[in-house]
Amino acid sequence: MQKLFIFSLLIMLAACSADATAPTPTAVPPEGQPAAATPLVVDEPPATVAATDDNGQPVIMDGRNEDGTFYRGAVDAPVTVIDYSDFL
Amino acid sequence: MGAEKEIIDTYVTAGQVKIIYWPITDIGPRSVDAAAAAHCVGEQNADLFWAYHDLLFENYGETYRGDRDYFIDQAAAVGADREVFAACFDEGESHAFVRELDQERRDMGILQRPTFDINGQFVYGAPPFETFDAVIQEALQ
Repeated sequence: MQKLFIFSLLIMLAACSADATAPTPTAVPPEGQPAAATPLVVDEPPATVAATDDNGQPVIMDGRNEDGTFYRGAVDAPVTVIDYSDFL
Repeated sequence: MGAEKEIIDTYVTAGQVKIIYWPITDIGPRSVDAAAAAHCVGEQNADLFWAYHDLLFENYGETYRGDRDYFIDQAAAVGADREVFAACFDEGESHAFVRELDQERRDMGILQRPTFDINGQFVYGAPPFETFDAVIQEALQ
């Protein structure tokens, strides 16, 4: 009886030790499916950064105002320069 | 506008400044033709308006002597449809619109050419970029 108790105690200790060191299982995607991508940590861009094209070059937005004049730049830019000039 | 490229490179591409072109037509019918031509190109595409604007300014000597065919050729050069442009230019509505804008700026007291209204702060003539830079920086505060 004492031997059985000691044997059981050793089994329990071994099980606890194995749990403490067991590696975290890695999820394996089902066959034929790609593994989930590791989420990227991306810094949020500052609000003042202008839009860029696929090559990273700044994109200048062109458009037309309700009064019929044309503008160049972000429609909500904090500063507006009205250029009164002649082509000649 | 000699400092325009620096303003664009420094502030427009950063989303901090928007430039609006407002025609002054003090030099007579050719002034009206040039501004009307630019608006006809812009009717097709706002991007083309600015390409045409830059082209006319870069070639201001030829623009000064430009006739209908010159404006049509330049419009085609920036990618505008030649026939659509010619119809717009000949129809005259853009000429009338440009004259309206010109009268409007006179009524606002904008009498010097060129004049730049930077968030209500006026800059006259063609000063260096540093002058614009200072006014824009103040406006951004």
